[in-house]
Amino acid sequence: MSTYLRKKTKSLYYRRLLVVDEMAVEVLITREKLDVNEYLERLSRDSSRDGCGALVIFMGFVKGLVNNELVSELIYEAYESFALSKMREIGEDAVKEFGVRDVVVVHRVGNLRPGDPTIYIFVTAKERSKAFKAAEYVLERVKHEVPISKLEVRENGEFWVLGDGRRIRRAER
Amino acid sequence: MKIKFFGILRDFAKTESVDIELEGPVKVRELLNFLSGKLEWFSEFLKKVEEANISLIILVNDRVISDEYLLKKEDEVTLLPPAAGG
Repeated sequence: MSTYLRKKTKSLYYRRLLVVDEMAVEVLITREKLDVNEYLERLSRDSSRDGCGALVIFMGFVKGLVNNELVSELIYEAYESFALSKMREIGEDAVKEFGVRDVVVVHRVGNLRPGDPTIYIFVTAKERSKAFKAAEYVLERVKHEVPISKLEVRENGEFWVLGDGRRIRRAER
Repeated sequence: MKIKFFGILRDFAKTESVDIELEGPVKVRELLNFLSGKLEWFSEFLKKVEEANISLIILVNDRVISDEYLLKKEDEVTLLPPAAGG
């Protein structure tokens, strides 16, 4: 390889790392199911260059049975502008608090059926213990702070879910 | 002043927003008291939320404000139910 080409390759490699560093926190609200493998491959490949060797993923999905009642769907709605800024703040706090490299938070909205993924959290780190702790921290804060609304449609009626599992029956319409 | 409702609050209110007129600058707590006095469903909802030790998310012009912020008539207040993500 000529000197010119070696220099060019090196420069492209560092530029790419710089861009990846800027993407340490990534948030998304979407109606679509994620291609999880695509995220796993990208995050593990990019973070490995910084010495990371751990990737923790949490995926929540719709329960098909609540209080012995069959659930037909959960309808999610996000107050999007504030939800995204809150998710980003939580991700940035996790990076500072635990020293992890990447935090990716993806929340789904729309009509989701039992077994459908609702939330994905990916965390990469040099140490697995930090990645586990950060993923749990992000999940708990998203559940309690991000303005996402949830209507549970069951055989015995519709229920608004408030906070951690508290429910209010929706009035008949 | 425009009050916007989201999620269960919009469901109870049967509308996305209402316009109200308040005399003089008021704090958010005073606005919530005013709405509780006018809207029975809102008063009952606030009681349930307080009993559950959770809270509404309140935005003014799409931003979180301090308890001391004085609302102006051109402000847009958004009332969001407690977070239920995940």
